[in-house]
Amino acid sequence: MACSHARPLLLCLAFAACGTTDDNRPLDAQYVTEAILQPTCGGAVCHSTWKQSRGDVFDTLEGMRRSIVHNGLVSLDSLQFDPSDPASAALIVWVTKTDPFGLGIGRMPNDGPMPNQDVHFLENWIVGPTKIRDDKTPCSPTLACTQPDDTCSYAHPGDAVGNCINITYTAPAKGAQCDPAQFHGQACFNRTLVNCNSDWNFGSTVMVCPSDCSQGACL
Amino acid sequence: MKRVAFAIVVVAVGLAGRADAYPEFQLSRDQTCSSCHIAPSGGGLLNENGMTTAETISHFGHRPEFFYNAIPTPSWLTLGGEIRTIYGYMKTPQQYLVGFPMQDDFYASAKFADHFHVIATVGYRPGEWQNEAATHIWSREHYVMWQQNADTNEGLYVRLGRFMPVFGLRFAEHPLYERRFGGTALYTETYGAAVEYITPKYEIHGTGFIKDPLIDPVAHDNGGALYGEYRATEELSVGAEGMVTVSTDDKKYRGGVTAKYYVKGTDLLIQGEGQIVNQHIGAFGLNQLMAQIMVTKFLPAGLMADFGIGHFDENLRIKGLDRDAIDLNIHYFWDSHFEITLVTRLELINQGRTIGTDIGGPTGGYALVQLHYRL
Repeated sequence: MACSHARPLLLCLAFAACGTTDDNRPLDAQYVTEAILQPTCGGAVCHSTWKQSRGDVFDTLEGMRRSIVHNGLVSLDSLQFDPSDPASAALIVWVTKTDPFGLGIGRMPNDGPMPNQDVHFLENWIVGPTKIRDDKTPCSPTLACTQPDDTCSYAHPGDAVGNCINITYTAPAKGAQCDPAQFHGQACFNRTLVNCNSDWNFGSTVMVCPSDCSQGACL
Repeated sequence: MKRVAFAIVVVAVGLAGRADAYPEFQLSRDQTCSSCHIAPSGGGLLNENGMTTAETISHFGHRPEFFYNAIPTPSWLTLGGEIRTIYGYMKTPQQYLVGFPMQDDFYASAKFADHFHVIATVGYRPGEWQNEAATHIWSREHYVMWQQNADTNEGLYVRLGRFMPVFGLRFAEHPLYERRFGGTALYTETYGAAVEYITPKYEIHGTGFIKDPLIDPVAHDNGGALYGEYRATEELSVGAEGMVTVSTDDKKYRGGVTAKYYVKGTDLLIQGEGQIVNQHIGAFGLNQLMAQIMVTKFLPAGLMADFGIGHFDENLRIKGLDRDAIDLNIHYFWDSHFEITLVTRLELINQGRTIGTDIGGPTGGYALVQLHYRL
């Protein structure tokens, strides 16, 4: 039986289940980190910045992003996280079944299970690329180019987990802004269908451009 | 047939760690934590009265001093330490047999100029990923303490250094929700300053703290905590608490109450804490609820039984994110130094209701035996 959050606190203190079924939680990386992964997985001797078990960090936004991308917790296909089957993402397999990498570690968290509602929320986050990338991380402002053919840099929260990436841009005209949407279709910075014609390299993570990328596989 | 994985592992899991004082002894054996501990908030080194209590509550007694007083120390120096290991069964819901060290800490307190103490803890910790060799030994706590009254455990205290902010009931068992979700999680000691005032009738602790600037920390916050307790009678105390923490990624505002009641006739202590946590993540705000009740029965022959219920709701607006833990711990204080504890827990999500709904979650639990030796 659910009880409204407006019901008296004493009812909750009596250990009743509270809340509604309307899940209004924001599908962004910051919320996922601070409200779900940090309290559940980011404990001191688990995936804190201090301990970093298996190199995974879940108690800061920055650490979570790095872990997701670099440690293969979600397969990166183009810019999406396992979009058609989030339940198969290593992150989800790990909290619902067992260790997906065969390390003999077993299911996580290993000091107490994760609520199903949080597992579903993570799955929705995985398949919601726009919201995943709609990140709060401040990036450098657009820099104005001074003359045609100048190059300038532009930082944009454009990779799969919202990290800022620096791109260079050749200005089409004097005074033009480094508008990523004009970046010759090579990248998907404006979050619309564009052609991609080469692999992407974000640090140590290479995103392989699929064979049908000319059809706009990069979302 | 449901496939049940059953693994035998020896790993450091989330239960690993250290333990602190026993708040069960406050009101039941003395009025304040500082009656038995050098630190005004309890935990760590015992004072003379604490050693006497350790001897009297245990089954076989024995000298309670450092190494049974086989290594006498000068009056200005107090030494001690704690070693804990734990073994047993866990279900999360995968089933494990586990065994791991919890704590290997050495304590020292040096008193000088009557009113000052330098207190430090040095010990083992789980090493950092790919930096294990350089990070296994550390000092969890180290601080300078000024004490107004050199010869009593009351009055004003000022501490500066690295220690746990003083907040809430401060149970020894860090998996209890009161610790895990209540603002004093395992290894969240950090640098700060505390001003504390203690009398038999009341006590108040104010702590300001910062994110540890020297090591990769467990807590990433700057903040402040205020905790006060008023003892209406020798058997009843009530407390109030507030804490603000600010990190790069979120802000938390905690407010709560505590209460303790000692039933003298039956040697039973009832204590509880309730806390509302208002968390802000970007533009989104949510409220959490943490509650903990613990009933302790003191038994003959060095035995003490704790029965606890913990409740945590990760987001009060969303159904199915609440969890409850039922804990039963049996302590056996063999002598002044050695303790065996049976630690058991049943943990339910959404009160264990998962049939016919996708809301809820697996049931977890553990049954572990902890061996504890106080130096």
